[in-house]
Amino acid sequence: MSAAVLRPYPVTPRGRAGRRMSDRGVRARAIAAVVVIAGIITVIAVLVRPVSLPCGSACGRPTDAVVQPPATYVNSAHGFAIDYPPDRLTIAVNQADVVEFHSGGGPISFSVVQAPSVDAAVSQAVNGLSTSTFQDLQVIGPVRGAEIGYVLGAGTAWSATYVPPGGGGASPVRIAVLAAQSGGLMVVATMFSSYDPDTAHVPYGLAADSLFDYPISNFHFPGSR
Amino acid sequence: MSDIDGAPAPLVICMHCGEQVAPGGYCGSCGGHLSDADAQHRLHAYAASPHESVHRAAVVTTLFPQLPHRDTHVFREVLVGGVALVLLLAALRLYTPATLTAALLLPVLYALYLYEVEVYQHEPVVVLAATLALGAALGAVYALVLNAISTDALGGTDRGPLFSGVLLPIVMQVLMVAGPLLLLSRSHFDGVLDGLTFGVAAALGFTVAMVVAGEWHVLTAELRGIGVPADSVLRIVRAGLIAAVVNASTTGLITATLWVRRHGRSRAARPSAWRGLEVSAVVALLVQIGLGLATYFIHDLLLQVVVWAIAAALLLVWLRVVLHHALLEEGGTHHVGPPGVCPECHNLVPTMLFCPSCGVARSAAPRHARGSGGATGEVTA
Repeated sequence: MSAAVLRPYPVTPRGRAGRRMSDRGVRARAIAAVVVIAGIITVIAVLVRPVSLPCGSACGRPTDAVVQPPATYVNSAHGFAIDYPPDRLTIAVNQADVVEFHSGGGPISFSVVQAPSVDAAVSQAVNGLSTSTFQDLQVIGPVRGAEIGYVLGAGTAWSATYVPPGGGGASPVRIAVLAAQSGGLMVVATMFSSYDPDTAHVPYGLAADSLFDYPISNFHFPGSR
Repeated sequence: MSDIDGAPAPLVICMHCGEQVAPGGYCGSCGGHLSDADAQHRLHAYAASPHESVHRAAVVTTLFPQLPHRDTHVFREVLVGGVALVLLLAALRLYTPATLTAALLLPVLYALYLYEVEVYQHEPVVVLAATLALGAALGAVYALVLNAISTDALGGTDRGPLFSGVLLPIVMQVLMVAGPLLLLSRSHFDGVLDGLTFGVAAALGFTVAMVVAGEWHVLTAELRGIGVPADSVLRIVRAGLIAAVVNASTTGLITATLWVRRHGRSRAARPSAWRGLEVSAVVALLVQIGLGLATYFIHDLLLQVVVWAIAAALLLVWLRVVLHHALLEEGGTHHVGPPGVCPECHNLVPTMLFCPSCGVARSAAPRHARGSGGATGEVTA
């Protein structure tokens, strides 16, 4: 049995017989195909690249004016209150330390935190951002005149690529994180929205900036009303 | 039996299947090791590529199983070179070319593979339309829906883990299998590797469309991006490369076992249930759902990529095990045919379901190299 099993068979030369492509052919075709298809997609992408054109005198009236009387959110655990436009913002998360408003342009949350300074509070909040949801996180710079409820604090603006937790199309966003302290209460406001390249009119490219302004300005620390 | 070297070659009886077969290392009928009573399933020698173990997470010999050994190196070189190029481009912040190279690398290689091994036989247009093209079309539609969901999420509407982590992966997997179903009834595509190839091709078409649509903002941005290279490298590698391997493996697993079920080529009296269609479909869906949930709940990008890579590796091994046993069990009546050159080891051997010298399944050879083997390696005396 073993002699029969080990019986060798004649080996034929390993030429190119039977092959449809040579090694060089595979390499050349692979490179050519990737370059050609990538080139076609790139040309299409360049042709449809969005451009920002100033509307000038054709600009319509601002559409983000608050037309309904504001509602007020009151946090009983810490005693602060927030006025917000109910037709633009809805309360999505309401916990003792966090309230989050959702809007058509992006969410904004207010969190009560413990931190030695407002700068540390901002850093903590940024470090807590999900790196899988907010990829390519890069600082744009400090938010000048950052304040919550007209209490001067600190803040930074960031650019990132937003990838929804469940997958889906990635998109460029801008994030702003502000912190302020009054009467022993440290509050961090975190917001993000899609990127608007018209940074001359939209601070930091935060498209929903005007939506976020209202609850930030109308934040009432305990005893400030 | 034919005489190869002038001397009559006596047949031997295989200790595993009891058939009279040509002498050699492997049984030409069942593929078992002829000199080892414990090696009927020869897990050290993968039936499509006997120089590799079955339990090995190899992309080329698993997803491109009909490539002869002599051709695998060039496909592997292009794949490794392509991955290196993707990393280099991303490190240089050239995100557009990096994303496109990552997305196109496996689909282009697979198109070359289809051409090289002639899986499509005389119907290249039909096969390519039902697999790569239809997969890409469905992937584009799916990506558009996902983009709408992404816009909702940006507006603060969180769909939750059940929707994002469970429902969407199931829908995605069903869409990837849809194209190959159009070829299921064609009797000349009756091998397990036909099913695998169609599934993999459809999944790769689907994935490339998803990546291009999902990363459209990168493609329409300036050539040199401003993001963090490390994050971009991880995102591109996961979306363009690892996800392609995962999708190809899950879809190939389902379609390969579906083909076995539909065409009834298995010679096993009682095919193993855990390698059957139902279990394979459950495994594929569980992997997709598991990765969907992991993506939802794991907030660290690097950890996410590690989880995806481990899942891809385990999935490749599982797929190889299923393919290996399916190839060992696949085929018709045993015959010892005239001598022919084995495309794997290049020995001049009697034509049987398996090469007696290296043990490769004849049905894992390219179409043009099978000789009289037929679609699944059957030989006629």
